[in-house]
Amino acid sequence: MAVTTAKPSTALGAEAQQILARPPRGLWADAWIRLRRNKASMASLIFIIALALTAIFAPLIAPHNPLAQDTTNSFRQAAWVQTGGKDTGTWVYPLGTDNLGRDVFSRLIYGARVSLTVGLVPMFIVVTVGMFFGLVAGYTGGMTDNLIMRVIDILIAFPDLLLFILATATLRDTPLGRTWNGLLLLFLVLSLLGWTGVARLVRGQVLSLKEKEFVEAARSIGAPTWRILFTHLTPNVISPIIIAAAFAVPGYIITEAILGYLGLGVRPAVNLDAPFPTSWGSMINEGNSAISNQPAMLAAPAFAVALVFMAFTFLGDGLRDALDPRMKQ
Amino acid sequence: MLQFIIRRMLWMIPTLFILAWITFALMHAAPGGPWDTDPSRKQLDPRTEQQLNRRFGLDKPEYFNPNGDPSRPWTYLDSQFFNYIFKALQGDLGASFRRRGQDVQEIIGRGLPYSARLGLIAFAWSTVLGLALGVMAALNQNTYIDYISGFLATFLRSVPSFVLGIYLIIIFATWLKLVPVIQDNWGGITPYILPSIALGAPTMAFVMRLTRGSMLEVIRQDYIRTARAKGLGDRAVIMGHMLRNALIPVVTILGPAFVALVTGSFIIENLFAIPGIGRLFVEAIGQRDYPMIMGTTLFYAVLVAIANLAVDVTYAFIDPRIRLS
Repeated sequence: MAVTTAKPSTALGAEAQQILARPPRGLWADAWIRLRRNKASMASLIFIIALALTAIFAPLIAPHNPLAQDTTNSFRQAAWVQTGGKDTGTWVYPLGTDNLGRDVFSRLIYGARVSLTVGLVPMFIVVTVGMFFGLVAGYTGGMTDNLIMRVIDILIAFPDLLLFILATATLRDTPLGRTWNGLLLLFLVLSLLGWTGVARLVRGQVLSLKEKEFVEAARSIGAPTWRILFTHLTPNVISPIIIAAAFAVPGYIITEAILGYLGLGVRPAVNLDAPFPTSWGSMINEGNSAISNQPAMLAAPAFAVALVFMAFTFLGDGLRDALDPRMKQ
Repeated sequence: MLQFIIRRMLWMIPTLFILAWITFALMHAAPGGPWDTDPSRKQLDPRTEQQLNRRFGLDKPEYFNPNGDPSRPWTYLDSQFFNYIFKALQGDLGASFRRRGQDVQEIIGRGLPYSARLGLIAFAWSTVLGLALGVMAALNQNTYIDYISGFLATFLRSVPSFVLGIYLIIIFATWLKLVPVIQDNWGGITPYILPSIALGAPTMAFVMRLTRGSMLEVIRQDYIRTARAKGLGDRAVIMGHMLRNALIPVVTILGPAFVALVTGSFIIENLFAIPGIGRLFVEAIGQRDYPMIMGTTLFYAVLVAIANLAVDVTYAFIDPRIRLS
C-alpha cells in the first residue's frame, strides 16, 4: 500500500517536492512514526515495558519476600500514614503490611507477573483466532459463514463471566486447575470465549466492506481470495481489532481480578520461592476484607489494575490513530 | 425477516442443549457432591444419602443407561442428564437440593424482579449517556469536552466495577451516610442507584469510546461532505447521516454489553447483598446444588441468545446493505 500519496498539483512547492523525494514508507513504519508523536501512548508504552521488566526481575526489585510472614508486624499502615502507634508507617514497608505481616509493596510487584501474563497470553490467542474466523466467515459467506457463526452463537450464548466462574470453580482442584498455579486454566478459560467477540466484530466490518468498490476491483482483476482477505480487508479491519485488543488485555486483567476477588484466581502459594505467588485480584480480595484495618491493601492493587488498564487504553488509542490510514492529515 | 427470526429461534434449541451439556459436564467434573457438608460437622449417614440420591435421580447413570429395555428404546436415556433435559423441556427445572421444597423456577422467578431492575437501570443510563457523550466528544474532537469525557471514560473503564462498588459504599454509606450500608428493602428505584452506577460505569465508558471512534471515522466520509454541501443543517447531517452509519459498530456491542451487565450483576449483587439471581448462582456453585446451577445458567443463556438475536435484527435495520438471509 502506497502511503506517500502527495496529490500532484500544477505548481509544486519546495515542501511538496521534498515529500515526493522522500523514500516510500510502509504502513507499519509510517504508523510507528505517528505513534511516536503521541505522548500519552509513548508514556503508556514505556510504563508497560517498565512494568514488564519489573515483573520479570521481581526478585531483584522487591524489598521483601512476598510470602515471608511476620505476624508481629501485621496491618502496618502505608509509609506516609503516621498513627504514632505500633502500626505507624515506615519506609521499610512502603505500602504497609497485610494481616500476616507480608509486605504489600513486594506482593504488588509479584502480582504484576500474574496480571500481565493473564492479560497478554489470552489476548494473542483471541485476536489471532478471532480475526481469522471473522475474515473467513464474513467474506466467504454461505455454509462456511453459517457454520462458524453457529459455533460462535453457541459460545457467545454462554454468559462469559458465568462460565469463567463455573469452570474455574469446578476445575480448580483437578490436575488441569493445578498446572502452573492455576494459570493454565485461566488462559484456557479466558481465550475460550473471547475470540468470538473479535470474530463477530471483524465479520460485521467485512460484511459491509466487501460490498465496497476496492474489493470489487481486486476481485475483477482476479486477485485470489486469500490476497483479498489478508492484504485488502485486513488493513481495513485492523483499527477496530486494535481497539478490541487494547480493551481485551485490561479486560482479562479485570476478569482475573474478579475471579481473584471471588477467591477463584491463581492458587495461593505457600512455597517461599513460588514464581507466581499472588495476583492483584487476590490482593483486592484480601484488601476488601481488611478495608478498615489497612486501606492500602485494597487501594494499592485496585490502583495498579486501574493504571495498567489506562496504559493499555492510551496505547490502543495511539495505535488506532497511527494505524488508521484514513486519520492521516 | 420473520423467517430469519424463526430460524434463529430454532437454532437456540441445539445451542441450549450444548450449553446444558457443558454445564452438566463441568458440574460433574468438580470434586465433591451436593450432600457434602463441612468436614468438621456431622456427616450424612450412607442410608440417608442413598435415599436422597434416589429421590433426586442421582442414582442413575450420567448420560446413558445400559439397563434400558430394547422394546422401549427411550429407556436407554433414563439418565441424569436426559431426565433433566426432558423435564426442562416441560418447563420443570427441578427442585433445589439445598432449598427444601422449592422449585428452581420458583426461586429464579422470585429473584428476577431484583436482577432485572438492576440490569435495566444500569443498561439504560449507561447506553444513553455513553452515546450522548461519545457523539459530543467526536463532534468536539480535541477540545476540552473531548478530553474531559475521554478522561471520564478511561477512569470509569479502568476501575473494576466491584472496586468502584466498594468505594461507592465507603463514600456514600459509611462517610456521607446518604444510604444505609446494608439495604433491606429492594423495592422502588432509589436503592439501585449505587449498584447500577457501579454496574453500568464500564459499559458507559465502552459505549462512549466506541461511539466516538466510529463517529470520527464517519465524519471524514465523502457522503458527509455531500450532505453538508447540499445545504443540510447540522441536525439533519448528525442525526440522518452520521449517527445512522456510526451506530453500526455500536449496535453490535449492545448485545454483549447487555450480557455483560446481566452476568456482571452477580458480583454487584453479592457486594450489595441484592437478593437477585446472580447471588443464587454463586451460592449454588459453592453448594453443588446441581438443579440451581443448571437452571440459572440456562436462564442466563436464553437471555443472552434473545439479546443477540435482537442485535442482529437491529443491525440489518440500521444498515440496509446487510441482508439477513
